[in-house]
Amino acid sequence: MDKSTKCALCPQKAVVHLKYFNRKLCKQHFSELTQDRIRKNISKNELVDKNNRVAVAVSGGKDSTTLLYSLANFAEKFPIELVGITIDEGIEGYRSESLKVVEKNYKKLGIEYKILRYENEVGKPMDEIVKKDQRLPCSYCGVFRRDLLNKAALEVDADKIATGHNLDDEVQSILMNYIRGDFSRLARTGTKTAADTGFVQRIKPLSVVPEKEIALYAMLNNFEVYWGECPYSHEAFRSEIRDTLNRWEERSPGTKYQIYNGAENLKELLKGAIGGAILFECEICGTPSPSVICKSCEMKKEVR
Amino acid sequence: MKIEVKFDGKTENLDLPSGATVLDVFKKLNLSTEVYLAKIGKDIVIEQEKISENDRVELIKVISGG
Repeated sequence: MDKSTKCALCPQKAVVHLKYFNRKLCKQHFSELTQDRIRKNISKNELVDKNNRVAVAVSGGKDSTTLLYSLANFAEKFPIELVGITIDEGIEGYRSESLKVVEKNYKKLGIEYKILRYENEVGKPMDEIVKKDQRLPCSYCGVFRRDLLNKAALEVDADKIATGHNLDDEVQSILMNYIRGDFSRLARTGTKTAADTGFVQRIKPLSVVPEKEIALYAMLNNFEVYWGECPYSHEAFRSEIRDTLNRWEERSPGTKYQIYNGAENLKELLKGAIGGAILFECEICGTPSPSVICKSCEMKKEVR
Repeated sequence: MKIEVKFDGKTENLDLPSGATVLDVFKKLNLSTEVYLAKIGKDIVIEQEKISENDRVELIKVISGG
């Protein structure tokens, strides 16, 4: 075999070249490394405690499906209980298809699950909301989905919500916060949210794995994944940041990890400098909010 | 040498010098190695993989767009 395409650890053929530490790995060694990274991220950052009930937010895409299988694997060795939570935004031809994949995976792993639907919770499916076209669809979806994930987690009595955010997602958010000068948000983002916000604590076990590697891991392990893209996804600013980051990473491998690690260090400094926001109880739904009526209730009024 | 490349729902035929690698395909099509995974036949391959005449290369977009 051509030496330049061989695994660094065995005679097998490499399926990935991790340029940021100049290592080529075969399927087995790459899978082991990925599992190890996720496990270490969970342990080092104490993302779960013994006997936690963890609500896994699953959409059926590569990230959340990998998260589900990784946590199921982790739960074999560490005593945590998993429950799936899924939001059906009501997008025909997209979410209707991914839900079939989601339910198959829950059933395959024997994980109980709960699905909350915009139609019941918001009052309208996303397909109807976009017809009014008052704001970019992602602005509504971001707020409603976050709110409903928290609601679903409370309904299933979960201690944590695990989401499938990967390294690329995290680094994009970090850069967006830098550019907007939003240091308070920068201090709040990261592998886990603070425990005392009044919301169910969120954890991101995949935050140390680049997006491309999660896709490769899912493919190599034959996870059933829905690969479709949301027809309403138009986050122009994030897209631009993503493309820029990918160009930087190609030219200078390791850039994404450098930005991520830099922000982790900065967060420690910011925590002392930025105080927590004053929160009220939303007059309509009772969730903690910086204003008397939370964003989600405000938006629900708009779309109804 | 002539090869067939499938990407983004289309197929293109490329003419590459002998000894060309998967990375040359990326360069020729101006596609990012950060965004696509490469396959030759059924196997996932790395960018250093040499391509042979009549190989069928597939570039799979794995990072969602806009």
